[in-house]
Amino acid sequence: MSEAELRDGLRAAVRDEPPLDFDADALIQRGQVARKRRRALVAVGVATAVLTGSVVSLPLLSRDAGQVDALTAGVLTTEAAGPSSATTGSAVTPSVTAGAPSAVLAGTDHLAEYAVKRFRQLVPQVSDVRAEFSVNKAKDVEGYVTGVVYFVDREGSSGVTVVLSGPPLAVTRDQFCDSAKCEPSRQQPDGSHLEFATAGGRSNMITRSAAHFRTDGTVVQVNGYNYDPMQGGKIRDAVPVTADQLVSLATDPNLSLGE
Amino acid sequence: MRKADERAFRDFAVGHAASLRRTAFLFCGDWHTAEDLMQASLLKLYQAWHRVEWRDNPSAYARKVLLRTWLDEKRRPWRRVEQRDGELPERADSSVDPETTSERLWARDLVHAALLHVPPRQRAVLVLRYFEDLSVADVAVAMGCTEGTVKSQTARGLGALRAAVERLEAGVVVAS
Repeated sequence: MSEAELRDGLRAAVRDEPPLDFDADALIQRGQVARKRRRALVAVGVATAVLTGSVVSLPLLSRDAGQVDALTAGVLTTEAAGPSSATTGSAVTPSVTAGAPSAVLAGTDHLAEYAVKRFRQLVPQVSDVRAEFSVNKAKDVEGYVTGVVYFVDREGSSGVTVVLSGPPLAVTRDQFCDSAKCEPSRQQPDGSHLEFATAGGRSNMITRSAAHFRTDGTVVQVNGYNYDPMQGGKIRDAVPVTADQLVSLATDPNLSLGE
Repeated sequence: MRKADERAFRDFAVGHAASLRRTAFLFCGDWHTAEDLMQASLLKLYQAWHRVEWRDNPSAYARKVLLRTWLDEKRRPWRRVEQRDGELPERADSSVDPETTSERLWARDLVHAALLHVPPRQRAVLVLRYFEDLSVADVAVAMGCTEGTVKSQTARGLGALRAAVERLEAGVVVAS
C-alpha cells in the first residue's frame, strides 16, 4: 500500500460521517460547573487545613496558657471575654473553639472586632462585614495569628486575609516576594519596610498582598482576592479592595501581635 | 472566564468540533467514542483556555489534547477488553456508483480495519501525518516526542498497516 492509497483510504473512512450535533453552550456550561466544583474543593481543603491547625494548636495553648501573654498582653481587657464586649453593629465571629484560654479568646476577639471596624471605615461601600481570627502555633512556638475579614459588595462575597507573624515565625521579605511579583520596597519614616506584590494564579485568579515589616520584627500581611477565598465562586475582573486600602490595614498599628 | 475569552472559545469549538471528531474516529474506529473523545478534549481545552489563547496555534494544542485523551482512555481497564474487528457500515454511501459500491466500501473498510490493528501510537502517527497532513515536526510536537521517533514510528506503522491489509485481503482474522 502506497502513501497515496493510505491518504485516500483514510479520507474515505470518514466519508460516512454521521451528522454532528454539537452544542457549544452546553459544553461551556459543563466546563463552568467543573471549574466551580474544583474551586469549592480547594476552598474546603483550605478550610479543613485551617480548622485542623486550630484543633491541634489550641489544646497545646490551653496547656501552656501562661506562655501566651506576649501574644495577648496588648489587647486583653476584663470585658473582652464577656458577651457584652461586642461593638455595636459589628457581627464578629471569633473562631477560637471552647476550651481555649480566655486570654487567647480576648486577643482574637479584639483583633476581629477591630478589623471589622477598621475595614468598614476603609471600605465603606461593602456590607455584611464580619471577621474571624485564630491563633496558630507551630513547633510549640507562638507568634502566628491568621484572620479573615468577610464582606459582601455588589458583585458578591469576598474577603481579605490577614496574617500576623512574629519571630521566629515571621515571614521574611524574601519569602514574601518568592511566590509573587513584588514592587520596589518602600521604606517608611519609622524605618520599617512596606512590600506590595501581585500574584496571578490559574484561571485568572489574582491575589494582591501588602506586607508591613515592622521595626519590632513582626510582620502584618494583608491579602485581597478577585474571588471569594473561602467559597470560590465567580472570578471578578478586579480585586475589590484597592492597594491603598490593603496598605492602610497592613500598616495599622492596632493590628498587631501585642506587646 | 471573561466574556471575550468565552466567545473566542465558543468560536474555536464550533469551528473545530467536526475535524476533531474525524481525527478521533480514525484513532478509535467508533463514531460514538469519537464524539466522547471530542467532547472530553474540548472540555479540557476550556479549562486551559486562558493559557491556550496566547499560543501560536490552538489547533495543534487541541490535537495534542485529543491524542492524550484517547491514549489515556485506551489505558483504562474497561477499554482493554473491548476488541473490534471489521465493522460494517450502517448505511451505504449514496454518492458513489452503485455498481462499484461494494468494491469501494471494501477498499475503504480495508484501510480503516487494518488501521485498527496498528499499535496505538503508530496509528496516531499515521493519522496525523497522512490524514491531518502534518509535518514530521508538527507530529513530534503533538506526540511529545522527537522527530526521529516520529520517523521510526511512521515506518513501523506503515509496515504494520501493510501486513494487516495483506492478512485481511487473504481473509485471515487479525488479532489486535
